[in-house]
Amino acid sequence: MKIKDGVRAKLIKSGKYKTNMLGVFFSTPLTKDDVSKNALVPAILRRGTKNYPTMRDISIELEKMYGAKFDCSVSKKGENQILKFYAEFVNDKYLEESVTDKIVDMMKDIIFNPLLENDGFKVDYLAQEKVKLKNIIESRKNDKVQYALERCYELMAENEPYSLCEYGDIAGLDRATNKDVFEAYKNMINNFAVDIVMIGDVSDDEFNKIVDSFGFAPRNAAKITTVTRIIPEKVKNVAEEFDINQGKLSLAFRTNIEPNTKEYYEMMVYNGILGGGVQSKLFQNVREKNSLAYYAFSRLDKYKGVMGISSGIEFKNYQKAYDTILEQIKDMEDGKITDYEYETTLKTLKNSLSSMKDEQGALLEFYYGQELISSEETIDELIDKLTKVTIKDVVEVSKNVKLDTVYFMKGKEEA
Amino acid sequence: MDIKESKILKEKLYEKDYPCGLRAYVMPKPGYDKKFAMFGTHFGSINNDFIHPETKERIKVPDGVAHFLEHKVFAQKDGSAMDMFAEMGSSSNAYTTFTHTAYLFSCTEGFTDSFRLLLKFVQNPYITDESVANEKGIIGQEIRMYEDDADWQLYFNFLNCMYNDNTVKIDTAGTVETIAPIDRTLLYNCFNTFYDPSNMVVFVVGDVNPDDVFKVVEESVDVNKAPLEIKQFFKDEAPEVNHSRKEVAFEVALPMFMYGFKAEPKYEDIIKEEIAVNIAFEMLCGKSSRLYQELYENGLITSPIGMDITFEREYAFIGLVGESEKPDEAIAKIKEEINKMKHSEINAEEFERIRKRLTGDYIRQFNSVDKIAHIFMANIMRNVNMLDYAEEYNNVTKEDVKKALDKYFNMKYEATSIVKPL
Repeated sequence: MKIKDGVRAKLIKSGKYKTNMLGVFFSTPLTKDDVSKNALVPAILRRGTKNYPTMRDISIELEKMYGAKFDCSVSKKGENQILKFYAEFVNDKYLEESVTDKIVDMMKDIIFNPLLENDGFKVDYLAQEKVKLKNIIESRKNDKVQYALERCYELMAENEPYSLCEYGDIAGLDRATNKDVFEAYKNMINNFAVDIVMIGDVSDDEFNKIVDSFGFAPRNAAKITTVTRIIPEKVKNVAEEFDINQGKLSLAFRTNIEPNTKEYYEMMVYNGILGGGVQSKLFQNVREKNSLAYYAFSRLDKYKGVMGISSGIEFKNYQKAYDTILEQIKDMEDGKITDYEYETTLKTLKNSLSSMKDEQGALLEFYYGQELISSEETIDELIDKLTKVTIKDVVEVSKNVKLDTVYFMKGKEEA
Repeated sequence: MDIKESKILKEKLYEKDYPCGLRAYVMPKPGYDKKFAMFGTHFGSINNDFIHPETKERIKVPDGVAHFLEHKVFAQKDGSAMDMFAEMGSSSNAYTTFTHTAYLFSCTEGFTDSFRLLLKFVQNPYITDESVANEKGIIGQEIRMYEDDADWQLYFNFLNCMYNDNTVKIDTAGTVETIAPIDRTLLYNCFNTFYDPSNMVVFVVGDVNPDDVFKVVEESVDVNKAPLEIKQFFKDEAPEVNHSRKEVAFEVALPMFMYGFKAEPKYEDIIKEEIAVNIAFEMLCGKSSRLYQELYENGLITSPIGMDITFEREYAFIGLVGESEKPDEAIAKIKEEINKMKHSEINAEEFERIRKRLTGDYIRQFNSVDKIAHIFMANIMRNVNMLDYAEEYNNVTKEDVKKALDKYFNMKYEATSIVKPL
């Protein structure tokens, strides 16, 4: 719901949790120039405020609030960089005193009242957070399953903002001066799109008061970037060597489908049948039938209009796994979809979406994601739309799926 | 039927123990969409030497059998149970630990049918030679995936430092070599021994009626049969560690460490001692500790230190996990702080603050049916009821923390595992 220009708020009421959750999200288009500076902002804000100058002071204060949790994160949704500040705290009704006001004050202190020295951030904090972000960037390769797909997307989108890492890059972090980061901070406060999302046992009045108390001014925030239509001319093939025991095969496809369109719901069902769960073609054929892998799945990025497939295989089975995967894509296009696959996929989607209603963290992300694309759709409405998608629609939408990049993370010995 | 109620948590637990030895538990969560059920057996990777109940033959199994059986139990005469769950719109899974195997599903609709399927399929695997061969390829890739997982390597190298003979040091999934000789007969021998109701537990959490759940259990399990007595053999384990240090190079960006202490699994009060160690850990290097602040500001740590407290009936250890540019310097600081804590008074205010926070963390777990189910099963498998923590969080004193420091942070039994970049 729009509060003022560039500022939105959303309350999801529920009394079944023992805790409430509050998230303040800032979003801005990803750019090479700003990504590293922006990433440093939440990192440095969580280090200390004028009232609580160290992380330890903040942690002690949170412990006093019956173990309230507060943290920040940086992520990307499509080609947008998201800076998130969130808190989880025990519902006042379980306590003798109210923690809600205290945690909101703490969040405001962290966001608006950072510890400063000489008109900039504390020099030590900035230096330490640069090292920390570099570590995060370099440690991405530790998780090979995740990294193989990220790397594939990165190669696909080589010249697009999508290839930027949400934490920035080493050179950009090195370059960022205290002044740059402070400007990025002011930019975040004054110009980035803001969303305040809350889940829990809170009345509209209480929520409105919280939203008002943040006092965000109206802003002319950059619009979130949507899908840029790109049709791959030819498939890009890249293999890289690592000191590993299992090969990781990843494929990136362009769908060019915008969220909030009829095709997007069809694409969700397409993705479910292809590689979303144990009933899916990838699981059944790559794993169960051909015994090539332990995991094989497909996944959509709805804000970018892309789909990724990933599987862990023996190095020598590369060709067989690749062929098996493409055969499944072809079967989707040819309409070789059984009623079992279709119906089971719908049930699986329905089950996993309904289950989300019990998980506060997942709900917070879901509803923020909806705000981001200006959608008021609830989980139940989404489920309803998915159940209306037919096999024919799925076959029709499959025409949009175009292979762009194939990435193979292979072993060192392998020629 | 037994009803246990926690006033602090505002939760109720219903329990029914059957003549066959099966224990069934239900925790209703009104208003929740998701329902979660688990069926677990006391058969994990450490249960590898036993007497077959019928042939009376002693069987020693190769590493990875319990996990292999977990995969194969899904195979039914009329197809894969996993597919059947999917067809009902339920999501199923299973996992194997050192001490147990658990089968589970969650759903938002049609709970009773899925629950019937869970109880039925776990009791009726249909294992063929052909499907065993096929599964070796899949599990082989699961093992390979873990071989490339730095956290996994760090953890098992740590266990390898700790233990001389206890099989806990061996990967639950085994290796490609140890699973090679596994065949149908071996799997059935294990199944017929360990998948007896006397060795099993059922747990359900969600918006359900306990009476209805118990009724399905009674219809699906032969609850009046005589319990089986399982005879097992475990190797004796010396209190000393196997190695004090293991270091390997791996495809990682930053060195990782796991540092901790081996202990004997002899507890006075397992829950209270666990809480006391947890408080000690938080005071030592938790986010509100002086040491964490110092390590962070000196660049010796860039992310919170993980804490592992493993108090099982068959083994016990505690450990700290972190990433550091200079792991040995970080560990040296931690050791120094432990010694300082041992020789000084516990600060009452700090103790109280952390005790309250951990109580809050504990209450918070009851937000999620997934978390409840996993934590409940892991606890009941070591004869601990997760609801019993509530009271102990109130009872624990700073003297308990002091005692825990002396008992569990024993430098004589320390070990370090390091994974460093290539």
